[in-house]
Amino acid sequence: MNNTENPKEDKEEKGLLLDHDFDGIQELDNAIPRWFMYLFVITIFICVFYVFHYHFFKQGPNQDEEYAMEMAAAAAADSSRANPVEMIVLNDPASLEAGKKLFQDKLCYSCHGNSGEGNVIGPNLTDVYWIHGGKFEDILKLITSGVPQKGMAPFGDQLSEKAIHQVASFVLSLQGSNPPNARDPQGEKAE
Amino acid sequence: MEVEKFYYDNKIVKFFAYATIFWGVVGMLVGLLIALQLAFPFFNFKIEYLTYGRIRPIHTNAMIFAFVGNAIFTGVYHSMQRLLKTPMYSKVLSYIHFWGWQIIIGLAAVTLALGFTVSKEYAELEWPIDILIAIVWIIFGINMFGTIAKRRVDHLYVALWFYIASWVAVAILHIFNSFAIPVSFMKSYPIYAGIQDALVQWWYGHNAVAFFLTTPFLGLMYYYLPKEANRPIYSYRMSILHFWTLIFIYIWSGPHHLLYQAIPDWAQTLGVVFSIMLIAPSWGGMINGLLTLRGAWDKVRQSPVLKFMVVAVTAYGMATFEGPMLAIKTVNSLTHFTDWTIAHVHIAGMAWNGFLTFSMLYWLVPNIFRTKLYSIKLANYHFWIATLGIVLYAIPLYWAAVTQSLMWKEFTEEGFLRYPNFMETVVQILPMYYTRVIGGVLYLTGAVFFIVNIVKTIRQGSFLAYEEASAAALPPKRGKRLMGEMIHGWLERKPIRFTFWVIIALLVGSVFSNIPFMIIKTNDPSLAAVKPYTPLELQGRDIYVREGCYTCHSQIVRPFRSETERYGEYSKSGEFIYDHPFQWGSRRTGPDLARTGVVGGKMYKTAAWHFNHMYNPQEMNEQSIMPAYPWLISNKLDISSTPAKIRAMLILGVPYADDYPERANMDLMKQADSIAADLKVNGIEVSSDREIIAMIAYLHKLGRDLIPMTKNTPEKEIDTPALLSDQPSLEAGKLIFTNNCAACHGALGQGNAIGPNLIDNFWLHGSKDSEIYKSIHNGIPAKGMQAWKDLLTPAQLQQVYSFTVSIIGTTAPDSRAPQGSESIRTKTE
Repeated sequence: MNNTENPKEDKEEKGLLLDHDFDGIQELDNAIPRWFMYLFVITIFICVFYVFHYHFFKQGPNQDEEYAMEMAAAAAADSSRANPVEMIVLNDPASLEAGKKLFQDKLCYSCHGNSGEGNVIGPNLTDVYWIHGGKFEDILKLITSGVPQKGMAPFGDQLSEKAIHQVASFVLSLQGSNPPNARDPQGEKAE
Repeated sequence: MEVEKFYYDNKIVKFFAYATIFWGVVGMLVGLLIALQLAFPFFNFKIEYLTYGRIRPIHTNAMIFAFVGNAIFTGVYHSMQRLLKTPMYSKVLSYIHFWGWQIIIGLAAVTLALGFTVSKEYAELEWPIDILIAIVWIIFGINMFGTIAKRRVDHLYVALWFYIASWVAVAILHIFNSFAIPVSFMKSYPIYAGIQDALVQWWYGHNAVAFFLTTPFLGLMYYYLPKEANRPIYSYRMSILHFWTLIFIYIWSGPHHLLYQAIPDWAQTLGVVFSIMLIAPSWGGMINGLLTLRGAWDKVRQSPVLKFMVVAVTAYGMATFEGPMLAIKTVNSLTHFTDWTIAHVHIAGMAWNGFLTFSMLYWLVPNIFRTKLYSIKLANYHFWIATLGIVLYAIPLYWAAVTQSLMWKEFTEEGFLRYPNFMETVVQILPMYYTRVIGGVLYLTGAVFFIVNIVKTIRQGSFLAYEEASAAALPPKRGKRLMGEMIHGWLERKPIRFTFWVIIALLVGSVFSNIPFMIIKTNDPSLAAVKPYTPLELQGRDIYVREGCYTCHSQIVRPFRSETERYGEYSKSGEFIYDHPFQWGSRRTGPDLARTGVVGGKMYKTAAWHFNHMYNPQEMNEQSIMPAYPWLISNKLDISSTPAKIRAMLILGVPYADDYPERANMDLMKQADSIAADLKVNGIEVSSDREIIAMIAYLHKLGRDLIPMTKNTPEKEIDTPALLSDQPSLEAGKLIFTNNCAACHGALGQGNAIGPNLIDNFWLHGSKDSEIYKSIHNGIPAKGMQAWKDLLTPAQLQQVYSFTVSIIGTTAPDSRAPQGSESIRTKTE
């Protein structure tokens, strides 16, 4: 065991060396580093505090209470849903552009085709036939609540009312656009 | 004392070493395959035996039990003989152990690919293999304790403490986690259900990490590090302190895998606090290892063995600090279900277990082949390329984890999820998945360098199968504690007593974190609404398990706004009482599925959607990384197993009628037919006897029973308004009817392909005023009828209700045939 270059350290070590060896492995009996003991004791204190704080004194919220608080905070911050938007078709180009973008972003095209022509899943949106009504209110309602049984997702919890107005306006703007490969009409003809 | 001559058995060490290397490469190749599958779904090849859900458990099992397992045995069989100055207790047992273990690994690989799995992570193997594991493990134990009994060294060295604790803990964990009721030769249901199963499983899963991946390797470190460095162990006192605190505290921390999930708060608290207290005991091993190198750091530069060892021990320190941090609830809420966990385990697995194994073999192979390592340079290349591999593997995944988690949680100013489409959050992290593949390739390349080096070393050496050694026998009768002998020193001479205290240390935490659930029923408030699985749903669930869906989809919604907005109501403990095994999962590569059966919920998809999606996910969404499952459509569902499955569930206490096993298949076929009919309406022709039908039934069951409890309980009495008979009101009602109801009930209420006839005298949901009003008000969501209270004002509801009642008894062309029971309304009703 004479490989250390520092003879003083070597001497100190000799005093700490335990008198047994295991297949040539020896052990020193150095004191445990003080910072290590502090670390251990501090973590134990933190844990005792944690248990008392949350369980015995019930100072901190449990997860159900945390959830209730989170939802309450969100409800307080959320004013948009409280102020209903007027039901008006938005025909300005900016709104239609925004609606078109939402039509892409929300993957409407995956069921209704890129130009609203419909496909095997969803109906044609460009003709005058409507399964769930062709009035602006009907379309707003449909986008908001969806038709889950038929696979149409409700978007009311993904889009603001304004955004839904934009998409619905965009959808209405597709009327009569006669895209290729349009799906056959379904539903009632709108007046 | 007479000096005795004896021979160390190096041959068994060589066997285990070769197995380590072989399975290591196999496991890494499988790992590379699944990394590719996550980046490019093409690599699932549309072959059921190669699909991610089945291959991922092969990777984890191969790395843990085949690679690391054989590495442990290599080191234990090599070092134990030398530390105890005796050959192994029984050569026969050594070889039974070796071949038994390799057979288990082979069986594991084959059965997992075939879909035989319990789906409990790192305990996926079915019951016959579990029994085999227990037998082989006990044989290993007999061999180990037999060797200890005939030792020529009085004191047990610290490495042996760790070997003993590992053996005891793994035996307890494996046996108690594997209790199951066999249904057939390769199918069983765990005896635990729901939150019990989750707690037992993560008590196991967490401590498999502790006592298979950590403590045995600390034992190896305590032998090979001082051997190569030629330095004494830094602190014997530290060894004692960190050994006992580590094994005592580790076993409590399992519930930290279930934070914010449907287990009681106090259990979560145990998981949190014991994880925090674990930092220091874990670091004790690192400190003792690194400080042992004091005065020998110059050697680290020259010796690849020490290079690998130093990185291994440092990575151990990092991972054991990271672990407790991840167990803090706030941190966990961000990292859980993300790739952070994957990065974390790969730091530990690749650097701590992998590098320590390489280090050990670089030392051991030249040693038993009586030569020098073929090329230090090549070993250094291995070191650097593997280190780079780890960095390129882990860093992108940490990045991916934070990115995806923040996307999951982000809300717009208007209060909506910014990324309601889960797919967007997956697409965002795909580049990180590509980089991860590169990291894996580099690590594997390093392993190839390693193999070349080892093969060359073996070629240039000559193997010494039985190495001569000599030592004095121990004097008999030496049990009494000597004057001035420290208690621990005495304990080290008394293996049985030592083992007894190890068992006590392990049992305390095990009992506290598990047993209360076995006894106290109040901890599991069963929801009255939760019904057992129908036979078809049960079969579907078993397919879900077989395909390893849990490897990518969780089934537990945590109480966060970002999760209830995305998935629906958060999960309650009582929902899972019939779940043998639980399917909560640990990673959301895809979205959570706990609420896929909630009609009108955010996760609900129609049967046709599921059918198309399973058949070809990329057709539904080009960027999806989900594998396709075409065989679910071509495979016939095996319903001959239904009675046995129901019988097993009856034994487990699921409340089916006693004669239900025999009747179950009738219900199964009825339900299957109705799903096939639904698909047909949507243009999909599929026979009702296919596996996909059962799968759809199961997905439509998830979360379905909870809804009455959260939304409408206690079911409020609805006040039925008076019938209006004035003409303007009926006109208004008619208008509402035409706009809203006619689509499904026909313009005149005559019914159509979707909805029933309303003008005849047959009723599906009752003919009384209150019943009709309730049907309109609440809807029949399961059948597609809207709850109109959400869409109409009370006045409108009254009008449409009045109109609907007014047309009863009228006639219309093309009326739909009657459905339900006949009941003629009288005027006074």
